Amino acid sequence: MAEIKIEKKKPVWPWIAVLLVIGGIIYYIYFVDHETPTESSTEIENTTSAQ
Amino acid sequence: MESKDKNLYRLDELSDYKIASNYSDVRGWKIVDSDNQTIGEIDNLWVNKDMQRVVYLDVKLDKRLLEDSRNEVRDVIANDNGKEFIYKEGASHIIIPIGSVSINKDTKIVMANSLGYDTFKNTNRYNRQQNFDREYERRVMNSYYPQNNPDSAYYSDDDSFYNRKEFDNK
Repeated sequence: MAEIKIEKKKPVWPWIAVLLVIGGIIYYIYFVDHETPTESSTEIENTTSAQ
Repeated sequence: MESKDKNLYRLDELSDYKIASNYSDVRGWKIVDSDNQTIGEIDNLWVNKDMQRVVYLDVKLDKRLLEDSRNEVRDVIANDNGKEFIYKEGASHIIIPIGSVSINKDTKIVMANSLGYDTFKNTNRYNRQQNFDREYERRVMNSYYPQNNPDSAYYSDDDSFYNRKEFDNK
């Protein structure tokens, strides 16, 4: 004799949240943390003199 | 014809439920009688949310069976012998208790173990667009198992109605 049981589907949103967090961490490590500070300290000399 | 007060739903209606692991989703499978004659195709599953299980197969009857039934009704009318007229135009679905069938996962065929072609031909049908009530369930059970003596569960309006072997629950 047959029997078929049913169950509640597991929600998908916790997995989406986990993926977003992991993606955020990866982005931070490779694109923010490794960013070398660049100093734009080039001074522009004003060669024009007021006449 | 409401089903909400007895907690029966088509599985398609319950978007947050699915067939449990290790059980077959028999929707779309063929169903045959005890002599291997085609009865129809399983169109849907009627589930009881509280019991977390399927209680009825919703079967769309085979065209040949519907035609045979129509011919029989024509004969009855032609003979005018006063027999109860059970055919309703457009009604082509019946319910079969889950405990009355066995499932062959390899062939994807469901077999009604002790029920024959004529029984299905003469069982009250319902229209897919409608639900059914407990009275319809009683009529169907009486058609399938006329030898069963009605007990207190037979007349109950709650889930104890399903506490019997025809629902594989006893």
